[in-house]
Amino acid sequence: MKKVVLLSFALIILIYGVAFAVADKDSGCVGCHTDEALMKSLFVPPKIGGGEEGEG
Amino acid sequence: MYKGLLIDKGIIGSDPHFSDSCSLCHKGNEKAQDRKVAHKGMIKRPSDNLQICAPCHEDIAKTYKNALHYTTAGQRHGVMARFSQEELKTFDAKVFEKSCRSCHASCGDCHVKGPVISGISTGLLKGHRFVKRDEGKTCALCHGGRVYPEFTGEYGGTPDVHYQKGMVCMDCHKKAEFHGDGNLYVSRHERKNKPACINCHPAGQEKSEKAKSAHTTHTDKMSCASCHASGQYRNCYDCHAGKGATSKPGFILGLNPRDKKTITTLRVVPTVRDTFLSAGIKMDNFDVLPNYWDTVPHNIKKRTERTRSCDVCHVDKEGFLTKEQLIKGGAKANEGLIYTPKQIKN
Amino acid sequence: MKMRRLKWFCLLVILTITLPCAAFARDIAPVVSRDWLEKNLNDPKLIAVDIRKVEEYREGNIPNSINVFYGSWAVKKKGLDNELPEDDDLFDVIGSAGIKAGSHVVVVGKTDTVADLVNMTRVAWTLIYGGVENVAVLDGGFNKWKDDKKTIYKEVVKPKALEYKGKVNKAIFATKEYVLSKIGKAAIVDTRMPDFYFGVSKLDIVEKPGHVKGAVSLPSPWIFAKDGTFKNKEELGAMAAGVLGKDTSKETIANCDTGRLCSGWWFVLREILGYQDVKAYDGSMQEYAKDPNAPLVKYSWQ
Repeated sequence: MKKVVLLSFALIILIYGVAFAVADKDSGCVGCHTDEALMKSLFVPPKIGGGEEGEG
Repeated sequence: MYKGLLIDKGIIGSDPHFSDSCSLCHKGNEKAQDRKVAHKGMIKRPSDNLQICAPCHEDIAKTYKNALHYTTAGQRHGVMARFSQEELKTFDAKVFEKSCRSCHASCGDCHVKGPVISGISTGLLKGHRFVKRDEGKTCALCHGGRVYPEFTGEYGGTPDVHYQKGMVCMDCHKKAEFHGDGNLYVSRHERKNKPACINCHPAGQEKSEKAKSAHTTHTDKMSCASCHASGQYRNCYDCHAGKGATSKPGFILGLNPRDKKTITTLRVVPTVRDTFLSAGIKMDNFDVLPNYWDTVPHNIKKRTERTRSCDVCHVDKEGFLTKEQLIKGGAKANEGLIYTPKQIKN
Repeated sequence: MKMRRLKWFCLLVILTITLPCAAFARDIAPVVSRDWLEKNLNDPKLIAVDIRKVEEYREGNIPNSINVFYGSWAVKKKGLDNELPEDDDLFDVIGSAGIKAGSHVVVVGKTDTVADLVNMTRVAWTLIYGGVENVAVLDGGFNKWKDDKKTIYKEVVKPKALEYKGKVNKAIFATKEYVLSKIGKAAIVDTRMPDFYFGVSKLDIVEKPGHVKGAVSLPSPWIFAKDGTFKNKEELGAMAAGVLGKDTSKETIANCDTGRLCSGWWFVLREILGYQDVKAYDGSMQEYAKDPNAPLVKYSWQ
């Protein structure tokens, strides 16, 4: 019985540990938007609009 | 530039704005690793909905709701007298939100990422930090057609003496001018406590007798800028909704349409009779308002041609609006702005 | 008796030779290194003037430096770009910066483009014209200060304004009429790139291509190394001698398109190499080419 309880505890801790490790991984947004080389490779220069209104 | 979309990793853990997920404000799919999937449903300018910032910045969100930078009410008020009631309804439905108000500022436009003008933005002001001010990347963009380039000298004239002394926008235009005071104004002309030259330069402190006497003589008759605007400023002509306007430098002196007792520097209003024709608006009352408004060119200088010699105005009449110069087909109200200076009697 | 007269005569000769040199005697070198500036920042006589834009200065600057951006020193006047402000306006700018005639001024700018580089020499020329003799340029500008990882301030330092009482030095300034009168007599050096000198290119603001009759070509961009620092004195001296000859007493007038580029060689010739009579033609080709009677040469290397 004691062994089962101990093993269950260990399993729960393992699961939580993995969950935390996974949760700590950068979100997709942060992962891309903090990577300079990646942003440079994905960047598409904007088209310059003509005659758009603006306060000016 | 790609750097404009780069977030500073160091702030993720420390800045309270990042204590929750990106998608709290930006929506989209944060878990996705593919760009298209991640960006689906994403909101680029979340703070355009003031409720996003309101939970922590309640007071400012409340006043900003009515502030002119958000409502851009002045752009509607400035032109509406030219419309009939029906035309005003059409304008509100088809033109105002889409065209004029398209440049209203969200919180982020001043505090996070420079506003987009003609498809271009300088990007995140400082790696997605929330900054208090960065005029060169915010004010300078929306107001980059007229005021800012005149101020820095980039337009081609003399830079404003205040810029030369290291001052930028918020050194004169205080926070309340942007965040608002809660009142719903129809235009900036209604607001009190705007920057005024005499706030820092009261009369009686002039270093020369000539300056003292010139100021006393012209007090209440002329705006400060009439003598101290250093030169030509941008005037925009012939605007058509969806097509823009053309501009050229000019320096125009005449009667202030809002106060016909004083002379001031005037700037051309680009509205012409068929500006809104594409929306079906002919402007039944076009002639009621002039095609020149009073302006304070941000190219101030201590000594100008006009301060050095009285003859420039009183003999040569340089810069004063004449009938020949009036815009062809312009409003009848324009003629009321013409002023001819008189010779000085000795 | 004869000995006494001889003594006085020798003294007079020595004074005649050395006094003019005193006028050129500098307390600080014309080009200062970053290390030198770092050591001397707290010298009460020293004023480091950052000529970059206000926004750039606010993002980061050299400790104790003040900001008087380029547009305060060179203005558009009578339709010509990059002109000296009126004397009274210039004195206001100098006084507002807390600069006295005896101050040691170091001009700090960017080195991103050729224009940025010669902005520094142009401001130096303007200060010397305004009567401030001890003006130096920071070698490599703010760019190199940053590369050296030296201390960068974020504060805005307010200068202690004063009323400037100096005298303009018109001996370093040439008008169009003066240049016309010196064709064939003084050395006129065109500091633009060779294609502009030869006349195959020109700026839109210049009416006609070509160079002033009799001018020689010595481009200002060639003063600087790729990293924005000045080339060494020996090399600069050899370049100048190769084009102007070795006689440093001969009058020289430097010109370009608007009066900015020519400040480069003006500064090197007079301040670094010791040429005694060097002027810059402020109006330059933008003014010169408007005059149908001013002799202009195209498609020739002479």
